[in-house]
Amino acid sequence: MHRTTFNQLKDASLLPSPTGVGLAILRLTQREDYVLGHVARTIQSDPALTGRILKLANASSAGHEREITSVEEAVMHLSVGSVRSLALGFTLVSANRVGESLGFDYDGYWSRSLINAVAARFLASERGDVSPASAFTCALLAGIGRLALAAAHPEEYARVVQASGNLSNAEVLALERRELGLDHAELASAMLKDWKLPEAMVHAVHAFERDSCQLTPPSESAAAMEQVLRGAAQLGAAFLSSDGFRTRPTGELRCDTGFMSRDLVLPPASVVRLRNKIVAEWKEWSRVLEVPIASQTPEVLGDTTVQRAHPEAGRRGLRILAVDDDPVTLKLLRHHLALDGHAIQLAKNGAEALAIALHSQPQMIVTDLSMPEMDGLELCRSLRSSNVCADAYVLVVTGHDEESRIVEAFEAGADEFVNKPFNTNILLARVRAGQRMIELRERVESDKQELNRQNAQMQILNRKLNTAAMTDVLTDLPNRRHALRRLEEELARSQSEGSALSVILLDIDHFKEVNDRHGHDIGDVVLREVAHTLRGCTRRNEEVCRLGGEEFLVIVPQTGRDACAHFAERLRIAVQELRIRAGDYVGRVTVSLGVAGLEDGARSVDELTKIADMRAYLAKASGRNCVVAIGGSWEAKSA
Amino acid sequence: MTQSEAVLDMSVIASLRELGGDGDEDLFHELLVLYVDDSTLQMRRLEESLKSGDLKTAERIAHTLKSSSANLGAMAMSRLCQQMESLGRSTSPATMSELLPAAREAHALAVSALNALRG
Repeated sequence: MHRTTFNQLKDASLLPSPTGVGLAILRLTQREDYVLGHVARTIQSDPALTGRILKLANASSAGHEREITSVEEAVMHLSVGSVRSLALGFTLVSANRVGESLGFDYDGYWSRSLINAVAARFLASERGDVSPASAFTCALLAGIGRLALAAAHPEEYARVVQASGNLSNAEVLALERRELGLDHAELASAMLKDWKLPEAMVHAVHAFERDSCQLTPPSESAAAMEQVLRGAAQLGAAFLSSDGFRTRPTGELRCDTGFMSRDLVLPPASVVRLRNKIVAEWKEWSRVLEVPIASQTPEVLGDTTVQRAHPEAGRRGLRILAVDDDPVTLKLLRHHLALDGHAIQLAKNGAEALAIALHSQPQMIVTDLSMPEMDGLELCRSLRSSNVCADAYVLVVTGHDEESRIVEAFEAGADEFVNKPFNTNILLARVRAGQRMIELRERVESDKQELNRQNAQMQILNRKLNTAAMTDVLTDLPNRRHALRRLEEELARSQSEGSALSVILLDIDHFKEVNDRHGHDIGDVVLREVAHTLRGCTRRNEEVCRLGGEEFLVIVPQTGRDACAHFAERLRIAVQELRIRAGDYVGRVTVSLGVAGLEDGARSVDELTKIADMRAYLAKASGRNCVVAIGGSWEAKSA
Repeated sequence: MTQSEAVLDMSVIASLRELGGDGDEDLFHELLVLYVDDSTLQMRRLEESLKSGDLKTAERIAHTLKSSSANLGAMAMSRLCQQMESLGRSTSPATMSELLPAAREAHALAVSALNALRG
């Protein structure tokens, strides 16, 4: 998709993105020369994430070896790339478990993605040519485009989802493009590429979401991943039938893994076993990732509140994390702060605090300075450099003999300090002052979000306008502007790849007479019907455009002139056989066609279309209703 | 003067008792038990770190014990910890270790004084 569109969405923070540890890892691995130890340590700072990665690593080793108990071992077992992808995937799940689009069934979405992920892992293990962990991640993230649309345009996408009921995938994509100016397949590709996930994954997701057998896989591993993804989706769908699990598969389960058709045919007994294994593992992962098991009920509009990980604060209270290695102090802090209406979590050192903060995102952190494992200063610095907690309000507790460290504390990112042993009233007063600051920040943030939302809507309008400017209103075909632009692109591509390119110029015969004899309304019907017929004959990569009047241009990439001539003949016949009915009018039309290709020596779009135009003229001169693909004198210089 | 009064700052004890509000002394008792258990553990760790020459850890523990003891009104203990802490910053384990016997005794007194209040 257009780079600018994607960047606009991304810059406006409208897209789901990895946060916290996932984001840290993304940044760490931006360049090729990242240090493995850093990645491992970053993962380790999040105990939940570490657990999930270890779980997957152990599932993949299938009990053959010793249990994997550390991130380093997981990396050795799974490869750095897989672990990186997994970390991204898992943090995306955590951060996007719920969202703002009321019409989007988040639970159902993640539930389905998860069962596909489990199925993909199984298939990959069976095959042996795809890494099971990568297959898991790929299937988990395959639908990310939909999630992104729900995040970027919550209300509009909710409407799309409602209207999507029985539409085919291609129809849904077209609907999205009409309503939002972009579709979930291209958005998914752009996001996965942006996160530098492996090419095989990007291709597999794109091909799968486009439902296209025409995207050539760039490599064997990409082709293999695509097959695994398709197979996994089928397995997932088969096991997750609409009435939950009361249906037992009775016959053979045939799993078509894509256009290369390496069918995975399973006898009934194996199906049952496989199903039970997949479902069991799916349930376990659901528990680990906090994804409820949803059946395929239609999206429910209305309140989809989900309990978040942090404790609920009183109406006016904050979520506070108190950090101190002295349990007595922690107890006192909790007592005083809870009385004042805040929700408190506790940690006994900086490392624990960091892990909790990344996970439950407290609004304020009250921390002692000297602690084992990670002291208050280092905690401050880590918080400020993370993405998730960079804005938490930090209140540092200092002994009177630590006053020299106050400056250091501020430099490390602290917002305020309070002395200990603390005077309760002063402590509470400082906390309330901090609360005012936090509320101010949150107001600013929500204003920003509102602006972003409006911006996103504006972007939709822009995209629609853009499309409209490129579309012929009557026939809904791309117009001349678009045709020329597309041709320029295709020509450049052909020239750099050395591939073929042809065009067909069509002119409706005797069109003026139709208008004169039957009126412009009938003329319009004729144009629309012809347009529709032509479009019905073309494949995805070819494009029929209306150049104006009764003139059409068909762009046929990757095709030589002679093959294109055959195609042109099919078009001619299709139009000839068309019976047009409009009110009392019943009639037929024919078209004259001129075909030109790069073999004719054209080096520019202008030259190419001129040759086709000349041949169409020749076709008319030869009696109309025919195809001309040769001849016509051609001067290199324009007349 | 009771034994407790000799060792503990009773105004601190009084305000701790009032924390729970309205005669509810559960919080006070919890704090008491917490301190007794944790400080005993910390004292052990302090001795170990001094024995192994880990001045940094010893200093940190002294720092923590200083505050927690003050929280429970054990001021003599708190002062000793403060001395150890400042010694830790400038000198050798040997010097800090010299204060250990006094610290052990102060700690024992504080613990028994606090336990006497549990009745």
